[in-house]
Amino acid sequence: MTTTTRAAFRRTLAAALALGAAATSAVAQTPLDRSHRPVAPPAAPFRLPTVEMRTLSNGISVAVIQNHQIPVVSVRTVIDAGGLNDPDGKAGLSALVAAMLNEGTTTRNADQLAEAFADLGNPVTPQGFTTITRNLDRSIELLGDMLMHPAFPQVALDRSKANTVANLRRLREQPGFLADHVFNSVVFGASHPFARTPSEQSVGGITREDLVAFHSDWYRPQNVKLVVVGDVTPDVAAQKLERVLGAWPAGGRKASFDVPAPRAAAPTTIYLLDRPNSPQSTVVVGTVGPGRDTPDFYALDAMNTVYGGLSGSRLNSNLREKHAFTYGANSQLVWRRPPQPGTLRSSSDIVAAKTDSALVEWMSELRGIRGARPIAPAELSFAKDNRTAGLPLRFETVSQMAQAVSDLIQNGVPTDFYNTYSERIRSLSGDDLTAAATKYWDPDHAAIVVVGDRKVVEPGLRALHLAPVVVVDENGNPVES
Amino acid sequence: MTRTVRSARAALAAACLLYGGAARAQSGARASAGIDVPTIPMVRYVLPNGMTALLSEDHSAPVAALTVWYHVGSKNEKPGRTGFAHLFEHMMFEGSQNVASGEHRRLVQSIGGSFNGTTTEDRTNYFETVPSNQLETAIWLESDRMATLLERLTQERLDAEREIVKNERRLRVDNQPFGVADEVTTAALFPGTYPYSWPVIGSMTDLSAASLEDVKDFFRTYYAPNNATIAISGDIDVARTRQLLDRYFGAIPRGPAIVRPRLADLTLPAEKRLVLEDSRARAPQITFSWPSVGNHAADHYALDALGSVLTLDRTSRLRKVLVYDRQLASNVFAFNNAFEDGGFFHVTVTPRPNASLSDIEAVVDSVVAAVKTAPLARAEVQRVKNYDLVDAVTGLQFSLARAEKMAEGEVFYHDPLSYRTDLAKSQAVTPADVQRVARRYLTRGRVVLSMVPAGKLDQVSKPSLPYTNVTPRAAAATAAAPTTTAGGTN
Repeated sequence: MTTTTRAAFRRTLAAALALGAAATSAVAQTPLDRSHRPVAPPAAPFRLPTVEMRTLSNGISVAVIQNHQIPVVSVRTVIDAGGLNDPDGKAGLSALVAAMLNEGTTTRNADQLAEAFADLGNPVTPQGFTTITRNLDRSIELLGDMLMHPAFPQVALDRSKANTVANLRRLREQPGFLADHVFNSVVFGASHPFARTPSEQSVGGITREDLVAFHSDWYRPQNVKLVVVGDVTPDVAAQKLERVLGAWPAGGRKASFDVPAPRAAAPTTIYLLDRPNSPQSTVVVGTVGPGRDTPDFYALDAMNTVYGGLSGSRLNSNLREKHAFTYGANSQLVWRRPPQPGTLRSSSDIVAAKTDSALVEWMSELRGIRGARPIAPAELSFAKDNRTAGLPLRFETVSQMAQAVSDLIQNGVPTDFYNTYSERIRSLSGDDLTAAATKYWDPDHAAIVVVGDRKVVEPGLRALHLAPVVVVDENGNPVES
Repeated sequence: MTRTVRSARAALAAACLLYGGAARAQSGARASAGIDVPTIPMVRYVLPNGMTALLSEDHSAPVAALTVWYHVGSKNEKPGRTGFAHLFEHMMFEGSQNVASGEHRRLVQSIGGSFNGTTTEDRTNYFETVPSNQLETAIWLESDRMATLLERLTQERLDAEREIVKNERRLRVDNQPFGVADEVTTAALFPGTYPYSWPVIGSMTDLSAASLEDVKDFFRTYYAPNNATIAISGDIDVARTRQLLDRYFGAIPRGPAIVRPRLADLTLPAEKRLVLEDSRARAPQITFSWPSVGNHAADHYALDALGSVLTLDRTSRLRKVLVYDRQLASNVFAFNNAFEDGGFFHVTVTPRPNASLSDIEAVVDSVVAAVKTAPLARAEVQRVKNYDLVDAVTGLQFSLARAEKMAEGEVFYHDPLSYRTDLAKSQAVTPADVQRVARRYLTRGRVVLSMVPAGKLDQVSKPSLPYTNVTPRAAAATAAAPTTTAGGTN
């Protein structure tokens, strides 16, 4: 043991001896009965640390949470310059712009940027960084340089495009990627922005001029918000950011989140994509959901927790624990910034020969959560307690806090959201959960995507007579009747 | 609650301030000497039954993390009976005398906590992070399975969980393009009797063959308090936590003494060239693996630095040539895969479309040769150390990360704060050290694995050299598994 540790040990031991007498009555005197779960003392009430807002001279808003326990600061940028802004035929442009920001600025080439990060001991990305407080100024300067003055060198663009194409090929080796892509294509419609995946062709056609124009249009103060969490005050944070990012000129375009309506929900259909020699079928079952601003948000959140949001939920208990069809099954609520619609979906990888049997159970769980199997009081408590008692775990570090606040901003949610979250969850009844499932989770209009070995799974799927089976290609288009 | 223990955050704060000073100076010629290493407050003691307890108090968030390390992994298995340690990771969530099957996960989730377990070649851990008022619940759950697991272990439960483990194999290995790459590599690097030659998750055949008695014997041997270390970090009261541990774990009887043979380091006398085909793959890949040393060998610090010198960032040697200058690859990683005893140094390259694996192999060989022949620049080793230091500081923010660090140090080095000496030693690595380990370990005795889409044997690296095709010919379900941590939801 080191000297420091020995000293700490002695201090602790002294404390332990002093406290021992007082604590003994609570713990040591009753005989141990393992059959009873311990009774926990009440938890301290949780409130999200206060978010303080500042605005830079060019309108960039800054959300700050002070936390001075260690001299570390986490900064996140939220920029409304995503795939929705990709022009027709240029899918992948926004991602390529983001990837190219650290390929050099007008005054630093990419190697010089890398040298600067190595001097700091931590990377700085255009999306943000976590650094020790002393390096905050230097990190902000690098962040601002990458965001405001990218050089987009042609040679780096050519290389990035080629790497993007290589990665796209490898993604299509992954059953999970294929299932997601087919799902989005059949649920939203192949031409919908949510179904648009960069292709070798769309990436191949992107030019340096496209990057410069995209950056000029969208990387502008009105589309930028910043989150700062850690060892800095709001005023000092704003001053430091103003010094660099205050020079960001106005102009460009204001991001919009309007999207075309999804295609009308079709009667439940099984979309089968053949992936020969797959020992498991990758399955997604889902439907279009409401926007993030729906008043049903809380009921959906709690409902999803009972249905499949956790490994202790109904879907995993059935498909994994009861039947051993899978290593795991879960459900997710996908939220986007309003007015974009969300998605309700569940997914699992099922041993190939049991794909049909698993779907029978799966659909039975869907009907169950809509009322065929009412929410038991214990399930309601499970959902409420999980959602509320677990909040402190989500805010243990400055990086977690910064991420949580960025997520709120990204989805257009007020930053005081968590102050009332627990209360809203606590007030829900079992009927509220059932009603939310009934309203949004229609098992007669769900998309069931199966990526698996067709020769193994197709006969069983057809024999189910659960829904028509349509064999599709990688983009969700039927390949035969 | 006592506040006399210096908080972990305060200790980190001091370390950050020191590092801040060093960071400003290091762009000049200043060496790493003199940089302090962050410490955390820690109490260590051993219960009469041999269980080691490590407690660290920090009140900055109302959260407590608990981890139990059993010093058992796939290394302790026997050929033909592999996969037991990982199978036990699953069985430990399948109920004990007072915790029904599935109750562990539902209970921890109902209090807003998180849990899991992971298994490696050398150890198994089980952990929970909970709101700190629920610490006793986590202690109760962990103690019940250590004390009473065998009371509820039946053939039926074993059979059911075994099927889930097979599903985990299918997910992580058999349904992944080239998912068997790690297994065929270690099988080629090490003799079949060497415990790091088989995968943590075991083979389908061995999993099927395990009898209830086999499994019970394994538990009796390895899941006793004298083979366990418990570490708790976060918003706890040390004195009260100590009482809870005595109460819940104190009466569990000590198990048999464990014989723990140390494994000798191995070398390969010559190069082995392997080829793996996969019909689901659309592009080739290639890996290079050299037998090296494990975490107990002094050279592992320099081997870690060598990996970073080769691929840490865009200016690192191998990444610079392969990804940027020659543009043969979209990605490349190099690292020393160190076990408790042995290890191997590994380079994996993801080629660009139409790049030839033979060209990539030539580049790897020339970059490695250059490291061996000409001195390394001081700066290229220093940048590696800068990242190491900031990682060490920020990596201790989570209560669970602190508990895991303490348990790891205790189990492998009998020093719960060994991350400090680790960091000091990695900061002391010199450019000459890096060159020396490259010369010593990156020799001709290595495994080169070409992975190609089925039938594309013309894409193999240097196809004119003799190679062994290791593609599993039977159904994919009999294929193999990775050598690294089998994580996920137990």
